[in-house]
Amino acid sequence: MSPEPSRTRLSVAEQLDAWSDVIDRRRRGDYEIDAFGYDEDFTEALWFPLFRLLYQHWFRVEVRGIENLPAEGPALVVSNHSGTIGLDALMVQLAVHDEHPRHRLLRSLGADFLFEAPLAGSIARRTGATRASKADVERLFAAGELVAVFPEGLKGIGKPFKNRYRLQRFGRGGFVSSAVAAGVPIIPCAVVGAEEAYPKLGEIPGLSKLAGVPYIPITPTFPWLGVLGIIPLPSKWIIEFGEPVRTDTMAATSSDDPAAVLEVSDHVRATIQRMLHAILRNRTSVFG
Amino acid sequence: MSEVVIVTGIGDRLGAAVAAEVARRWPDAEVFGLGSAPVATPIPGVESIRVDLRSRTLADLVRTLDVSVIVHASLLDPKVRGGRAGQKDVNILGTMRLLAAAERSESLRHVVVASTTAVHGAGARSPAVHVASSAAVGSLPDGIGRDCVEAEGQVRALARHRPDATTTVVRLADIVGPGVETPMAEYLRLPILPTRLGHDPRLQVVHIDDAIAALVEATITPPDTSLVVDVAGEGVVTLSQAAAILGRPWMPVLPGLGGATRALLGRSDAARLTTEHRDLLTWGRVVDTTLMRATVLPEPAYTTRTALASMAVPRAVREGGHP
Repeated sequence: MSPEPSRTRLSVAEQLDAWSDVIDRRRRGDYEIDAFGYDEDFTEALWFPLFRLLYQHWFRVEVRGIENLPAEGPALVVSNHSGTIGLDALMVQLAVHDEHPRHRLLRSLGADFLFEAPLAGSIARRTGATRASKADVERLFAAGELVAVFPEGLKGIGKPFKNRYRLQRFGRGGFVSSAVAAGVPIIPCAVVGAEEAYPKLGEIPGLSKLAGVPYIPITPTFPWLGVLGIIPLPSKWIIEFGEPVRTDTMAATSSDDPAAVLEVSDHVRATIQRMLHAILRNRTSVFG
Repeated sequence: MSEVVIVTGIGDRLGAAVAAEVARRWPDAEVFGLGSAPVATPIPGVESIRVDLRSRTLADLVRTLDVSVIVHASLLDPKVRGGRAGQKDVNILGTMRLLAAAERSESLRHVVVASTTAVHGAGARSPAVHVASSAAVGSLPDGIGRDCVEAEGQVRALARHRPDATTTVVRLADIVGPGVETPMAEYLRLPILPTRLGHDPRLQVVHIDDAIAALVEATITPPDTSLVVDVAGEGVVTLSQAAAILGRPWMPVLPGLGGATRALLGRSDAARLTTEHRDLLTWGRVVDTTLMRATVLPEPAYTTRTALASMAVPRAVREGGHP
């Protein structure tokens, strides 16, 4: 047995015990958060256990290529983004935390609207995310953190089901520019399964503005089954990390050379698309 | 030649304490304290002068005293007469007068200004961690932060016009501590802390003792080149965590229901938050303290957490059930 306490398997009694401890700590304010708002106590004791149920038993996530993530030091994971509500960001974070030998924390970069939204913004910060901005990314790299970006953003999660696994536009490649400037390796990541968990068939028009969200989706179960409709379909997920793309061999000045930045961005995008196709080719069943 | 130091804002605890501490630590210096009202108790080692910063006599005063060091500590005074309008007036015009007089003073060597980290603003799009050089995102609401942005601009102008003098701008996070009367300290003393539903902002505060120490150090040790430095208790807490540390309950409130909350608390006078303060309690603010450690406050006595704890409800009261 390794001395490392298994953070992934706890009996029900142990879990309840842990929860009562954590509630006690939280009542006294006896926990630390970092400058970005990451709250390890909350994330490890409450948030991850909750979503680990989905990860392990519902989506049965299979992780490939975890060895492509460095044991320490900064790196930038670039992933496709899909599944209507962006649950994939959470599953990739959990995949890195649970499968990486060092149980590293993956710090996601989120869109502006996420941090403007009540509740979602607070939870995003609490669980290690920060706003996708140059200043924040530079700071995370300087601190040696593992950062994740989903450059398709809303275009990725909000695309209709018929466009599943077709990568959307990657924007201006701001993430590449930051990675090149810091000489940080880029690790392409492909997520398969999220598209089928929440197939977005359409949108309910008009209501989204009222609710302050980008869109209100129609899926096979939502809104038809009401609250039950938010339960995702039990698709089988595969998360694959590809080989790192080195940027430390590039001149630091290429970080503000648009041509060089877009070239790397296109290369990373093509790699992820290729990985997606390869996984899909070998997939025998969506739910198996 | 002995130094002549003037300290503004001695009607407030911050200015009075800075003046007293400069006089104590710097026996060669003659320290004059400027205040708009007569001081209640004389400050040892400090000669107090009653003067309104907006008056024309200020320039004569600065000239006749041969002032070499100016410590402008009145910008953050929470108890100025005339409410916010009066505060803005004395902050903007008073700073203009003071710095204009300073610029004309041949003996001037160094200027210290007590500013606030509120100059960084507080918004969803602010950087997670501010550094001294980062500018505010968007425009600031009316408040001390905006006054200080203007005052800092005047300080930069002074530094340009007087390359022989140095300036140090000390931006202080919200000052807390027993007996402190800043808006943040008053807020933290409410029996129930109203918070904005769905928001749990990251906060930093600075203990009054550390704020004083930073200003005194900035006064006694001028930098080689003009300096702007953010000062805050190290570490970060969320608002709900701050409430837990204080031992006070907190209550999420829908935006726009501030009046109802005050009625509920039975404190119509309290928690009337300014827009500036409400933004802070919605979006939070964190500053980098690396430069602070290297310059004006190498050894802070308090962290954000211990500064808050200094205002905590005593355990006996908490457990004895006497609110």
